[in-house]
Amino acid sequence: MSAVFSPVAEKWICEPCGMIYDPAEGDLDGGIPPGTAWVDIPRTWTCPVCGARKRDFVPYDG
Amino acid sequence: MRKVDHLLIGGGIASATCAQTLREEGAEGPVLVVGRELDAPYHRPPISKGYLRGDQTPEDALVHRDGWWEENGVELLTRSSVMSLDAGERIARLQNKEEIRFKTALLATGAMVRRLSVEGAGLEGIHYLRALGNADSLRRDLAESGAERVVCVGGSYIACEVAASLTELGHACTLVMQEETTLERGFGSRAGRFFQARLEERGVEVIGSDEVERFDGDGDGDGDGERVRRVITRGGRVVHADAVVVGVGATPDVTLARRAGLDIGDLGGVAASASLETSAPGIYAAGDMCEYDSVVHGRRVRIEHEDVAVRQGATAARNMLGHGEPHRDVPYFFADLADWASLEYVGPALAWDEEIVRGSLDEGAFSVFYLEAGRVRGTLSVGRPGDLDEGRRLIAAGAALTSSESGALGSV
Repeated sequence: MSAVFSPVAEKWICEPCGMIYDPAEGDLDGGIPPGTAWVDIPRTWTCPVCGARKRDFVPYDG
Repeated sequence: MRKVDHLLIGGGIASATCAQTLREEGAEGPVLVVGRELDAPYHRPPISKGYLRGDQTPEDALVHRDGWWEENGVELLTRSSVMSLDAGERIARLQNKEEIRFKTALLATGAMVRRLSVEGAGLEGIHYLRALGNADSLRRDLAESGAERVVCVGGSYIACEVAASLTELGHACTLVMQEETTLERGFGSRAGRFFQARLEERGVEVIGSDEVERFDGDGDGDGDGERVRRVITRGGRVVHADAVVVGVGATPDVTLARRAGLDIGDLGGVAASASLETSAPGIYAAGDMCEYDSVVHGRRVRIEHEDVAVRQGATAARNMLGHGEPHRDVPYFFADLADWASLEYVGPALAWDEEIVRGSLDEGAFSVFYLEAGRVRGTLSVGRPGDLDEGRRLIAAGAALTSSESGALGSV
């Protein structure tokens, strides 16, 4: 399986603002260390750019 | 590798205005705008005003109407981020790995909301406002949850505007803020009291000199998650809340600039010269994250307001074409508390030791000139827009007024 399809590398995009969550970057200000897969982010996490909820993100294939 | 003349990074109004100015000034080569937003650039001020109240559609908020981009030969790439920038080689690498070589670039990556990190900040029903989609989520949540009481956190534009807008929609709003008086940080307590009175007479409860200690939920962690029910303040107040809107400021998004090795200023923005050029030749900055040497103010300033982004985008465009001109605009701000009160302001005054009032606060038509050591640094106007030009002129001149001149300011 290629790394692109691994859940750990899967990117998600915030529908309200377009912020792209990249597991390689994480979100340190939001308490999410680099390397954190999307599934492991708590549901209470909010978008670092616009404050949207985790459920406002959709998979990003760019 | 693709080559463009001008690469505009950021999908907001600074890039949109920059693109427009480039074409108006005769740029004929390829212009590419890369923005992470899912939509074309739109105006943000309606998010807390008319759009939130349902008076405006997403189309109303667009900076350029459908078709403008094609007609003007500007390529707009939405849903895309520039991941890295080689400032020396002038090559940008996009999220999809595509590389773009550019002659000049604009960095206009905007700002990010400041998230509260107190206990309970992740509860359902707690909202922020930055994008049109956030306003959609807020309105949908208020409708679906049947929320009546909304607590707005913050004492500046966003929280005050949202409190007014949601009161108009029939919600009972409470403001919780660190400030003693609304909007006092920008305009002082005298003008601040005027705006607070407009909020209070429409039923907004204002809790000042306090801040959020934590949010309490309803204890129901099942289903869609536990929902916020109370705001507990450091001062010991318990405020019932069916929903919360947090408006406690923003931080410039300098992630890309930092990664590219550009200088970052003391105010947290990308450091730029008077002509808005960053520490990397050929790369300019505009908008919320632009911290520039202002010839008007004689110091570094960084301002988060739409009109400033518009004008900086235009200045940057001219300088990308080699004009080499300093950004000379006196920054302009506006805010609306529903249709109860509208303010306009030029400045900003960071500090002042004298306020001269023209007109009447009691009658709701007044201007306040903010002076520092006899020099006008800012001018606020409510219902007297004609005074703003005088304020602009005095701020730009920067000269100390004589006592008779300053006395005349208040007596017109």
